[in-house]
Amino acid sequence: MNNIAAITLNRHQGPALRGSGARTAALCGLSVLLLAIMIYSVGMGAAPVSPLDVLTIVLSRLGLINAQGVTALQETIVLNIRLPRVLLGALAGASLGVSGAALQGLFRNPLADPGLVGVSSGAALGAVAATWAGAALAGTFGGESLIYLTPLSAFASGGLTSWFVYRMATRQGRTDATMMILAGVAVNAVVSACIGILIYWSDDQQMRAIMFWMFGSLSGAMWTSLAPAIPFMLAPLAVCVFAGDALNLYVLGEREAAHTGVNVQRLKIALLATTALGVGAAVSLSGIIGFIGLAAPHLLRLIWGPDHRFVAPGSAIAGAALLLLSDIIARTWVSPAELPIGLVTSLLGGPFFLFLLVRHRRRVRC
Amino acid sequence: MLKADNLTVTTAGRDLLRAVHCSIAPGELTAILGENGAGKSTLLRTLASEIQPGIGRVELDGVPLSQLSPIEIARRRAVMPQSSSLEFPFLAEEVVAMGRHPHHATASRREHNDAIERALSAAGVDSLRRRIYPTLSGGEQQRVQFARVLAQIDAPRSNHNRYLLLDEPASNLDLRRQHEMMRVLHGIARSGVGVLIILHDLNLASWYSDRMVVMKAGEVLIDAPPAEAMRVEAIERAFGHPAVISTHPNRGRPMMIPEVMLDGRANAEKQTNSISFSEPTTINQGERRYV
Repeated sequence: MNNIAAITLNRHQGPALRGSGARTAALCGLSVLLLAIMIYSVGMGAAPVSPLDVLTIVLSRLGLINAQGVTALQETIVLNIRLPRVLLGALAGASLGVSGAALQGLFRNPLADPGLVGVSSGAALGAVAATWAGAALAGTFGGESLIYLTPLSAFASGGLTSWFVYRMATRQGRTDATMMILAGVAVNAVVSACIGILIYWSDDQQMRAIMFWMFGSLSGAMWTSLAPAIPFMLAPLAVCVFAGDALNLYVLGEREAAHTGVNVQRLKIALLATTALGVGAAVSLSGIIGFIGLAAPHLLRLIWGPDHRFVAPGSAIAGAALLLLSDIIARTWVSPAELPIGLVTSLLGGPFFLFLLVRHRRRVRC
Repeated sequence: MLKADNLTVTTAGRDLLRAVHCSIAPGELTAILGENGAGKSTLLRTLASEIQPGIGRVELDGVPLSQLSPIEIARRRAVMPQSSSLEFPFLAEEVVAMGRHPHHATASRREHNDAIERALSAAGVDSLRRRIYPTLSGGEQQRVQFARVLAQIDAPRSNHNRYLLLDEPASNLDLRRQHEMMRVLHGIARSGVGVLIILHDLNLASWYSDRMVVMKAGEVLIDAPPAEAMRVEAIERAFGHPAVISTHPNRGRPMMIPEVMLDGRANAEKQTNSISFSEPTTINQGERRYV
């Protein structure tokens, strides 16, 4: 008994595609689309590999078929260079997309986004600070332990920022969108200043590292750093899927949710913690990549409605697809060089956010 | 019985409720009335476990609320808060379906659907079901929320008593809808649910409720059936406004007619227009002197 809303809807198909059948089909369709983008993305580059060869290499590596007609060089390029990059892109996109949906639920406002409310930049500051401190600590503790220092620090400072912004924006169970955005602006300003100070003190190499976190990039992808981050990146998805019903009630109102049997306090803590984990892990591996968390849930809601049991997994898939598409643009636009991907998503996402604001204003007025 | 025993709620050194006793009996429609700030919402929110009383406790059928889990309480007690703000584009019927959340495990698909249908038609929002909630008017949203709590309280197979608390549910409704809502609530009470409703309209309370609880300054002033509660002295004391009590020509229940005091006196017949307009003019002249 987990899809009550859909049951009634099946009997009264209306204008929007909101039935559970349409939603399942949408998830399947999006997954196929994502898979196609991933294969294309792995294949493209200075040494192109055809989609068929990409599939052959990956499937043979998994032991499902025998590799035929592919060179060892192609295999190395696909498995060691391109695949980790594309997987990082997909996972970071999924994490940002579903974190956006979760934060929008937590703030009870569809305009929330990890970048706008300052969680991403808070996490980035944590990551930057960790690399700085790391250089000093490596002498005493050895380099090994530092693999975890960056993501943990990103998680802690990301979590702290989202808690701070949430407290600023919420009074007696009511979240004020203006306060949320303004608090995000303030957090972003402070973080920019801190990063500016760090740049002022940096040598050339440190500056490069800071640029990486500020503008986002998938170029640092490695299997060793990617694997341990996967569960953290998908943590917000688990909360949204298992507590989708409760989250739907929660966006109706904190009091309404409590009176319908939802443990509101526990839900809020779970949302805060897992979005900080997801965004922290994504930022520590790929830097600040904005607007994915805003765009993915919106596109889904526009067509299939706001039910979180659908929007959360949908945002994960759509976020992954959007981020990989942005990466394809970043790699082809100024090829053979590549743009930082965060610049591409901001360039596309900024106007999208303005569009949402105009739409929101129009709706409020009438 | 949903029972409040000796409730005292204090915020910032001010007593919002002072030693309040109040109980809601199954099968009864109880109306809470009183002037602004009398403690009506505080009492309802304490009964809804939103506010923890400093002294006293609330019991649900003899069990203190603190000993029951949120979901157990939600199966037996629904609450409709004063206003709800929803920014997400849910359909009206999806909002109503959310009221079924506490009955997840205990009801079948068919029962859920039937409950949702009953709620939609009882609240008169059948025609709004496919509309997007945030685009509805204030009154329409209120009726959808009403349908949601009706769907939550709909559990015919339940062995427990059920209670429905509503905080000014009729504030945005037109005349016809107010009376429709009161009629539905009356019917629900007759089917065995204990209903508590905050109202501003004394006459709605008098005509539809079984019991009127009139509050003033955090205390219960009157707790009696309408025939007893609707007395001039009591009404004037509770609301600080002179009134005339009459009888509804067709239904026989008491009816309150507020006194009109345009010249600062209670007798409407003696006043003339010239008196009421002369005073503001004087004030304006006085103000002009300082400009």
